[in-house]
Amino acid sequence: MSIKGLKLNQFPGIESNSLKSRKFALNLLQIVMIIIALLFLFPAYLVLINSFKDNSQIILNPLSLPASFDFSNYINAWRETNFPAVFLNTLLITVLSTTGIIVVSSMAAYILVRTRNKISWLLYLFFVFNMIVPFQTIMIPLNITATSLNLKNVYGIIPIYIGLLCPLAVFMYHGFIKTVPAQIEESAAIDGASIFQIFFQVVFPILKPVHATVAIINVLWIWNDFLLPLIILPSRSTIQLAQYIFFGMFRQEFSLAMASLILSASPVILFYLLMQKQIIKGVAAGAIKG
Amino acid sequence: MIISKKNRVFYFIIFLLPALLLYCTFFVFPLLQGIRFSFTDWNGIVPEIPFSLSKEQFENDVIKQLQAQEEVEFLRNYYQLDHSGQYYRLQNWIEENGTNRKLNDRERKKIKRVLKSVGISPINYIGLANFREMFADQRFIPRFERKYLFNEFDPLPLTLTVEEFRNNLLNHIENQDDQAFLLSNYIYNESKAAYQLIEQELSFAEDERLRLLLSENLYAQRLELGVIGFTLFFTVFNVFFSNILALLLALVLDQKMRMRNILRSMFFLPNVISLVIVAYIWSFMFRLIFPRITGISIWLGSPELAKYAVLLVTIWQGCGYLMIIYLAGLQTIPPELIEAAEVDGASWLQKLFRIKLPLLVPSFTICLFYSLAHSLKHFDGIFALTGGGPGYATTNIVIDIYKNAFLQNRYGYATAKAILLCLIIIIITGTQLYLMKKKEVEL
Repeated sequence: MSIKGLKLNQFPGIESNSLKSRKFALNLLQIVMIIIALLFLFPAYLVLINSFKDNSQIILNPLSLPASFDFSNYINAWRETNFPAVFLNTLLITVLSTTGIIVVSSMAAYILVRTRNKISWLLYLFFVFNMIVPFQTIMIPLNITATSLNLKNVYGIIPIYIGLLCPLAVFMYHGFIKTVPAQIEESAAIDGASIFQIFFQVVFPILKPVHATVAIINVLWIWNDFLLPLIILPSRSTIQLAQYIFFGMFRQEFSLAMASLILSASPVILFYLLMQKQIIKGVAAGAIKG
Repeated sequence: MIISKKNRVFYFIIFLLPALLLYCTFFVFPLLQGIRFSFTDWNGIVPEIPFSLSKEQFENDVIKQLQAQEEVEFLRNYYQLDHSGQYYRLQNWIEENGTNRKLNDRERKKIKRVLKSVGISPINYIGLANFREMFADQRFIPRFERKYLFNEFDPLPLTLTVEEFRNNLLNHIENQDDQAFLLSNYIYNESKAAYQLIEQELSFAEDERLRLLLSENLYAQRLELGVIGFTLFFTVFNVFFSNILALLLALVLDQKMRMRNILRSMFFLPNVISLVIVAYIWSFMFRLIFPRITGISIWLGSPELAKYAVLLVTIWQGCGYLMIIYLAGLQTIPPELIEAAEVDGASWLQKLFRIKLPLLVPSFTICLFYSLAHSLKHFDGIFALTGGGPGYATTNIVIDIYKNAFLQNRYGYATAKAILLCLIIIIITGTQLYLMKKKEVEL
């Protein structure tokens, strides 16, 4: 190390030269990466430009730019997929389930952490056990349970999502609450706050970073979920199901299909563009804890 | 805290109850049910009452056993002899006041109760028969299959390469006479390194004999992956390629570039779109764009290429997620460590292999676990892209379960497969976690 240090002091010119060449290499790498990224997203770009063409234009020349920006495909797709209703259904399911998951599992995790005994530890393990069993193992009996409880509708799927996805959230809250000291809660208790007040007014706001992570993971998961709605919900109830049915019906009508693809992907892409930083952070945090 | 012990138990239950209740209803209970169903032959169409009963069974075991005349009348209303006169079938539609209506829940429950009182229930326990059937199923497990290369009515092949001739033809013939006959008609040509059909005209009988010999014995042994094989194929390739790609992207995008945040977002973008939509974006690519670029016109319809097409789409969608995990791992490496190595004159490669990769082992553990588990139970993408076809070429276990359960109405059999899948996933990911955690401790 000392020899190297000596060298640096003796020939400062060499160092700045190599810095320059390094910067050049980085810039070159950046350009290469931009090209790769553009190629990576090329399919999405093709779908976008083709959504403005009519069917014969697409089949003749799928690579060319559209002659004009014709929105009739979008209008047709909007009508054919019954987009507003389907969108509202998906939004309703996603928002209510995520809220439910946050409330229910933060409560459970809180009491599991703050009660220190064997039973609470066993219950925690009981929840975590869920993460190693694939959904497919339970999907068939779940279908029957849902039928007998009369839950095969847009509102009925919400408690199912909460039940299925709360273990991961419990796990994440559990890990975080363990690091929160109990003093604040104790002083609140001395001031005469009930346990509900303590939880909802003191602890719940402290959990904000975990709320964000849990919310992001679950919103993306539920919004994009296909298999559970496929077996539980009537066809065409969510965006994914409507897309699936629509594509089956209009397999040869590329123009309509392209427009409906853009239409159904746009809400989640918009969400992503708005919340990019939080999403990437949340996903990384969720993955490392999961 | 200033809460009495009794209160504490009360609050413990109150706080836990919602989560526990929903979790038990929608996960634990179905899981136990699933384990039970996997030992039955239940079809799932009629949840609780048999679809049909043979004539003798219905008359001897049911009607004669029933005490109350009212119950007999009740059952006779719903089970009627079909046109063959062999079976009593359940009437799903009831004519009432001139209109047809479906059986309602109350009627179903009463039928179930009455039938149960004489010991008839549609769910029969068949032990491990489901599991045995699974492994006897030709489509399920990998196996070798003969692919015949010569049709009796085609013209005889003029040349066969040495390998083809020996492995696909000669080794399949046991009869000495036939071997000699074959060798007398196909002569080894050294300059071409191939066996050639002799040029002189064959007699009708000889021609016939040669054709028969070739059509029966000229075949290649080909490995058919089957459902299990395809699942493993898909898992191995997906885990390998998406991790390599994600790692490379993460290493490059960890450099101090001006646009790295935008680039990261671009590579992560496919991950936020649902697999159904991703699959349709690519089905458009495979149907209109790829034929133009590659000159191969059929992608999703070809059993060979469809596998790779499915793989490509899954890697495209999934690698951004893994990239984020690797990036998070790279950011936990203290910069002092890298700087110290740079001062010591470590090359780029040395930094990579001596510092970055060893410190990334926790990220490897997570990424491998995630991609293993997700490839083994991948459903949406394949289902939307190929539906498991052509034939069974891209059917993995999950799609097979779905088809068994919801298209063929074999719930019992399908749940048995799901239990098997669960075991496979637990074993594979458990082994992986165990091995990798050991590596982490060593560091």
